[in-house]
Amino acid sequence: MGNDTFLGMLAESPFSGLQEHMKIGNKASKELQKFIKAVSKNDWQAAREYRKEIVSLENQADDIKNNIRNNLPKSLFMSVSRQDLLDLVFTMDGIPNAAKDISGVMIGRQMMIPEEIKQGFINCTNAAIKAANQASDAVKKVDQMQRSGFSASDASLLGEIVAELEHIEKENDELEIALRSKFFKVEKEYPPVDVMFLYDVINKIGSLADISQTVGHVLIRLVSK
Amino acid sequence: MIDVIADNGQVLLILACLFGFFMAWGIGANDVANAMGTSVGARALTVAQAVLIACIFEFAGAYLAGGEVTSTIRKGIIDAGVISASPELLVFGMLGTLLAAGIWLLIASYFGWPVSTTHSIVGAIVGFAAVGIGVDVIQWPKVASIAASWVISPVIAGTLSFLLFTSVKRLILQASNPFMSAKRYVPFYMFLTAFLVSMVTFVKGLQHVGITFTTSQSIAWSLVFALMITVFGALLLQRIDNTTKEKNGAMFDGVERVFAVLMVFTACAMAFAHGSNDVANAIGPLAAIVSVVQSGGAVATTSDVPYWILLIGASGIVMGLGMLGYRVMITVGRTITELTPSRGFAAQLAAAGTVVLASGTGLPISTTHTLVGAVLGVGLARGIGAINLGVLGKIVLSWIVTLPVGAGLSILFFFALKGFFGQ
Repeated sequence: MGNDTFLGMLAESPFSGLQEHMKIGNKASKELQKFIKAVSKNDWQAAREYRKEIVSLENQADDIKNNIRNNLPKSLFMSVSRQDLLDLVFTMDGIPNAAKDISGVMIGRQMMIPEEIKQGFINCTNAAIKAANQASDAVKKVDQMQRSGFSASDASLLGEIVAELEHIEKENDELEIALRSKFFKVEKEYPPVDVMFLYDVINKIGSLADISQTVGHVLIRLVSK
Repeated sequence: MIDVIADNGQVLLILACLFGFFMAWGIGANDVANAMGTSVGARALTVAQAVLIACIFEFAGAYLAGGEVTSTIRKGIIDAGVISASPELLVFGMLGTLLAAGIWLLIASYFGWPVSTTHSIVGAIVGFAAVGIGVDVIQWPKVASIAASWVISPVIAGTLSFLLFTSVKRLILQASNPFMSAKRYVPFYMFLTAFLVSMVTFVKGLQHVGITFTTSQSIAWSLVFALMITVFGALLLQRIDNTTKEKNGAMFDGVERVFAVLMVFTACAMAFAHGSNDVANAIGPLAAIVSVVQSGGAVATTSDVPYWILLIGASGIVMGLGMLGYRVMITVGRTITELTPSRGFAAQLAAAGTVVLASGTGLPISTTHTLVGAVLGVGLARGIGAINLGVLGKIVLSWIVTLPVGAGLSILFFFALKGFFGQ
């Protein structure tokens, strides 16, 4: 007389969770954009609001990450490799984490962005956020691919999205180099500790773009089986 | 010895009918949910629709295509020639088998173990015959072929569903316009489904209704019948437009809504297949008892299965469905499954095809296990996000445990009945 155990075979697909997580990561990076704009205008009131939102998004992303990870027992047979999937989740989780770190350092130190590099700083941040957004599109694409059973034409489309992502990351790299060299010329006019932390933040913004690019690479690995 | 049957004929017959009906009732109450669950889980059917389809097609399957399997259980496993000197042993054994399988299934469903009716029945028959009568009464080559079919049927279903889903991927899901392609190709799958079921019905099912066809006539009629069904299905597809709509609590785009129509057809085939195999093998022991008692003690080898017995099975299943089955189905319907109609149909058609073919050749196989193989096939074609192999382990384990338990219980009941009726 069996029972419904046969349908128990069908575990919840991890793909919807991935999509959800990436959406939140993307949202966090967009909040970071608003946050930095507010900081550049010295509007700490607004910055604190954005910061609060980023922290809450980061928490949500953590919950989803844990949920995905806890629902991936070794006995799961998936349309993609389990290891690649876990790698993807952990890489993706770097995006809201980076947003939280950057906003945390800036708000904690009431960081002023020197007038000379303000535009460069904002440009650099925008490029990193664009990368995160592109990574989100790539995850969306993979979710679609999963629904149509991973087609070859979809794979080449994903390849294009990731190529664009690489391009954005490179752009961010160049902007970062320009920003550093510009700041290097004026850094002596500012308190050394502040300068140190500003370099740290620039680093972190660069890593936001790096992480986004890695998300793209893991996605390619995930679908090429 | 024959006196035992002559003296207690009525009692034995009534007992057998009761136990047989109970088995069929149990299948209707519980096992049907497995066969229909795929459709309900994929939200292609509501629970009410699934119950209705199951009632009609389980009945039709058991009645029209169940004869071969019933016959295998009745006289394929035990060598009638060896046992003809003491027919009452066969009656006690088959009664014991029904009791053993019924009780084991009751225990198993209480604890939620996924056991198979087929395995309990076959295990029970082999058990009482080997221990109670003698190892040489069993037709071991037949038993070996049945056991082999338990391994082969999920593999075949898996291969079929892999091929089916791969074809769906190539032809429809990855086409430049999936919706138009779905409308173009889905009728072919409908044709395939209808042809398969009608072929088995025409070749095996209509004999006892008094109509016999030659093979070429069967093929011709099946083609005509399948074409009619396909035209009907194509007409249904006309009404589907390419928008995302809510269906039974899930959002579906146009493509999946086309497949949801197809899944109504494969659900009918699934119910038919389930009826033809699981119901048939559950009432096989009843058929054996009836034939011995009615012939006054002769172990008949030639006569056909009396078809009122299949009626008992078929009505038992419908009763079970009506009384408890719908409740199990509601539970299944609530579980979130990732089996969309485009995946579910492939699994269902592959499983139904395998089971119906096995029924045609008289092999008692497990519908649930065949479905398990079919779902894995879709998974291997990268069609399902995640399949929990832990559940698979549980199913295989219950497969192994059921045989000795069924055998042990039937041996127990066999000797008890033998003692009770004064042997």
